Amino acid sequence: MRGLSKDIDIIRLMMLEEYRMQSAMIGKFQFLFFPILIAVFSLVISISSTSLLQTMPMERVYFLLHTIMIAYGLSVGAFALFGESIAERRFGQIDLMLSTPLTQPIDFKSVFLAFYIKDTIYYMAISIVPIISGILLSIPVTGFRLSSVLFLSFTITLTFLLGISLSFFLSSVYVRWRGIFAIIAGSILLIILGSYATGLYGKGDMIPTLVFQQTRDPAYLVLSLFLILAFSFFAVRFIKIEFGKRSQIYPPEIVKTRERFSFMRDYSTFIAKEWLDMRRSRTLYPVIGAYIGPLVFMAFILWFLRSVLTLPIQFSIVFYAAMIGFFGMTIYSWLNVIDTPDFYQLLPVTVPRIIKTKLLLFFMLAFLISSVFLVVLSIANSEVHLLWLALLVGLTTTSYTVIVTAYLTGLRTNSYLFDPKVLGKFAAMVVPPLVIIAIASFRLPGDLFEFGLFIVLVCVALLVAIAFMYRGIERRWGSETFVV
Amino acid sequence: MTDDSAIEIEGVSRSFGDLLAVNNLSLCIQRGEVFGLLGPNGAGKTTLLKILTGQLDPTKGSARVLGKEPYEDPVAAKVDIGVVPEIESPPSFLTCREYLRYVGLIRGIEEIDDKINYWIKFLDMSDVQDVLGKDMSKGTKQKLMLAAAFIHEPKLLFLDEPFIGLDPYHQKHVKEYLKRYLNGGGTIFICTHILEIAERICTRIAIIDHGEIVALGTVDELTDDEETLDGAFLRYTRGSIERS
Repeated sequence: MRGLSKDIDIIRLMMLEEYRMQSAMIGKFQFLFFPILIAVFSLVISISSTSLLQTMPMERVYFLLHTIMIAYGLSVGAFALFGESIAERRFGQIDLMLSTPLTQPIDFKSVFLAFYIKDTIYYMAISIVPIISGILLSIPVTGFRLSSVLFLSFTITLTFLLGISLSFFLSSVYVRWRGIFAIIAGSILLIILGSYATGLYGKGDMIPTLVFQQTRDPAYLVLSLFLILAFSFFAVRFIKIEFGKRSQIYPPEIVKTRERFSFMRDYSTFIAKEWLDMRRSRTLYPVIGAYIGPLVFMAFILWFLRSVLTLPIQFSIVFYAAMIGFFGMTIYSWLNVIDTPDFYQLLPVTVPRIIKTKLLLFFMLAFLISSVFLVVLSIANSEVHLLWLALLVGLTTTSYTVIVTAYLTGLRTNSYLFDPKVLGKFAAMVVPPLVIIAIASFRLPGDLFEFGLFIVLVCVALLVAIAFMYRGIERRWGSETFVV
Repeated sequence: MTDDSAIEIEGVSRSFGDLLAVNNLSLCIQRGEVFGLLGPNGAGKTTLLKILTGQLDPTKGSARVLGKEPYEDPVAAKVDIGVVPEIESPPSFLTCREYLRYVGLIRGIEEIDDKINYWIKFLDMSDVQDVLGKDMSKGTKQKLMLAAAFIHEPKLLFLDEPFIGLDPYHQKHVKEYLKRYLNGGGTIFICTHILEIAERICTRIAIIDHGEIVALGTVDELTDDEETLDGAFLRYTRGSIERS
């Protein structure tokens, strides 16, 4: 009993550690707001699903739900490792409880098991429970049967557990045997692609929890539980302690990189440093992905509203361009967490200078990505004639949103943006112009001259605001220090 | 402020909410001095150092460092000084050599390659010169912070526990450099808990407790007959330590 109580205590402390780390990284408000947002989102989707079910068979809905759940479970396992490395850079050397076996008489496998259980409970509490709550709350409106909702809750929880256990299993294999990891991961990918090619994938036969959902055959429940336990067992069995850092040698690149950015004049030195940070921390692709991901998601949602829910809304490419601006802040936010700027405190450099450096780097990345996205979309939607306006709107709203973000949050975007006061200001400054452009875009291409001109005028007003705020950064952040 | 004074502090206070970290502190440090600031944990040493290096504003009072008020123009204040912080924090994704080069570019240091080569050799960092900051050992990080503070040949050095993390061989090396630096007309302001070092290198010492100076003078003036600096330190701060 003493052993069990000790293990429960360790898991409880690890959960506290996880909560404190995440709330310090992204802000307490955002952190606590997250499950509420998930529950509301789940409630809205559940309520709107009555229309969805008229156009999409139930089998397909289950397939979508379980695919999302297994992907989420897999990503939680990956985030456990990724989030830790960000926190380490953000706060300097951090020592998670996971490293306790280095100094205390406790077996690493036991601590890893506690860490795994903690992650499972923790992420279920902040995401799966709110999802289920949202569906349950929708019952008075949707009339779903309680027993069906509870059964669905049970199966999606199993699917999540399947995803997270597979993720931890693969992580353990990766730490110990990179080659075997490549074989297993490659095989899984091949099976999925093969099943997709043969039409099996669409039926969801690959996910036993989904088959259990559809057939209620207990054999699939047993198979699901067996897989979850087997993945968990082997994840703990195979894990190997690997705290020692492997140093990599890098040839000097700062001068060469600075020369490459010499067109940035006074900022070339600082941009060179930021660029090397991004490349060497291997965050260049996640940064780009964090921008493209929401854009693709937006395109999917709009397709969903138009094609699945058959809402009679005509979106032009200018609408997409207005929305692109909103997602721009994710890149700026990323640029602020790659490395801690504390050392600038010792050098003759001001906070506004580094804010502007990040802004310039942001413009280089975002303009390129959003322009390519809009060109592709204009061709796909046969709206090339609106491309000039879309590019103007896209680049203006992107610049405006990120300037507002930088003006209000400086170098601590994740901390400040989710302070309700700052978030309120942000919403008041960003939402109205974007909504105005979005609404005006619904009248395109029919009233191109009238509404196109109106949109151009809004963009001009935003450009004036951009110039003011860019200058204002100096005044607002001039006396700020680099150290948190 | 006279031409000879490197630092002049008049009635400086700094509070963090209800906590008064530095309380109405006044002090004058001459050029060419090695001034040691000693005190128990949380006495206000690092807060004072941050005010003098433009990292923090005082709540009250004024301070001048090499004729400039550091919090008024922190960028200008940092041009002629070198700072070694309490916690070593070089950039995570630049190598040792690249960080020194980066400092050189920001400060506009001439003949930077020769200087980088000198400091890398002087502090035995040749083997780790191409390793990223995040992969460096604590000692290497500390050596890098020292090199970054020394490389532009500042007129005044602020050192916060500069010997922590260094092995005895490199401690000796750095002490020798500091001697040469002083002979060349430099001034040092050092915060340390290693009283043996303070006793050996400081021309004057202030003991600070609860944000106030409780003793100020040369080692001889602070210590009684046969008493070491350790003894004097404990005597001046006993009340504080017993309270805690």
